[in-house]
Amino acid sequence: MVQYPQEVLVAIILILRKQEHRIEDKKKITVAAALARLGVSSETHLVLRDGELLTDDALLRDGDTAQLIAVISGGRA
Amino acid sequence: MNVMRCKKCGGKAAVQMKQHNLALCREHFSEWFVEQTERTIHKYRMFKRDERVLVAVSGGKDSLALWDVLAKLGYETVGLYIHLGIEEAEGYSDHSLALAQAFAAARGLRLEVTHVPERYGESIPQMAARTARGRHRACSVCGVVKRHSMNEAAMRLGCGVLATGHNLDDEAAVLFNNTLSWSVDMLLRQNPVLPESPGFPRKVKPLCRFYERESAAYAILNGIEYVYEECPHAVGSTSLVNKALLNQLEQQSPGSKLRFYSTFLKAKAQGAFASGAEGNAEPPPLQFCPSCGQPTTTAGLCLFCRLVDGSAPQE
Ligand code: SF4
Ligand SMILES: [Zn+2]
Ligand SMILES: [Zn+2]
Repeated sequence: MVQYPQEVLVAIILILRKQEHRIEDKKKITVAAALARLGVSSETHLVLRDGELLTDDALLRDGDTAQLIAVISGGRA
Repeated sequence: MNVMRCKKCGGKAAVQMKQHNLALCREHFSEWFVEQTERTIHKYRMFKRDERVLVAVSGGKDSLALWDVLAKLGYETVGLYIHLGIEEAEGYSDHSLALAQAFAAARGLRLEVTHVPERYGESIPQMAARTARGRHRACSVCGVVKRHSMNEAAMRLGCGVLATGHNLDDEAAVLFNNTLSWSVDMLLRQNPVLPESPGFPRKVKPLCRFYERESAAYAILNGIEYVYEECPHAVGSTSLVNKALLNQLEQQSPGSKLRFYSTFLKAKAQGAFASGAEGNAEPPPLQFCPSCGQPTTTAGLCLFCRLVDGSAPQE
């Protein structure tokens, strides 16, 4: 299959557990879409950009860096 | 273009709660969280203003959020940190203690520390390695030690109430587990409030109606520094597996977790589990441990004292 080069207009960095993930697209994407790319659920993760929590529909712009915070913890007691 | 708006002020929403059909901005979310906690405290008659509350703090988001809210609401609180001696994950216990201490110092709150290795000569992983009870999971030993330490501290510090940071996800995970095995006696005991009894404080869970992501959001929005890392022993625990399953359900059908837990409490209040389980619900006759004085269900040393002095049963 031939892969055509795509023009990347938007690049976003998502940080999950101290690891950076670069997400690229031709347009701005929503938090929900970005999380889906990483296979991460907004039920179990909060998204923080510049000290602000973002809802699922918020748009991520080119050059944004957002931190994903896993919220689930659990031992026995 | 950010379309989601705060239901109260129309400002930019910070947290969406699909199960309540509600989105709120930073300020109104925190306000809502505090109000809802107060409502839960009243609804289940957890404690009154003249009672001193011992708050079990682990350094995690839930317990620190709980302590923050109770202090804001003006309740008299004492924090209790139990140092388990867990050194893995870059000094897990030391690190979470430091966060709990910084939290208390910044708010002028009183924090008591029970240091398990200093007091009993062994850390939780060491006790677990020595005893049959802990060989499979440190958590089993840990649960016994934590329960004992919380009761002991509550009695010593004159706190009639012990508050823990359990959230709805924690409760739903336990409920799921107990439902899978239809452990009726466990289901009967799973309550937002467990009444006090001789030697035991009343046990309350004021955050039991919040989703886990809400207590995390509260901690983050209120600048609470908490330990993000998981206790290394939690990896692969049943409760994490159950939580993952329930969150899958929640994503398919928002509100599933809330419905599961709240309809359980309602059904129980209407007597759903009572009649068939009368035999099981009977509390065993109360006896007191000759060594530590805490109530126990068996004659002789309690489970904790047997664990610490090395005569724990070989299971
Ligand atoms: S995960 Fe297990 S060992 Fe770690 S604090 Fe929780 S109960 Fe204790
Ligand atoms: Zn608002
Ligand atoms: Zn004892």
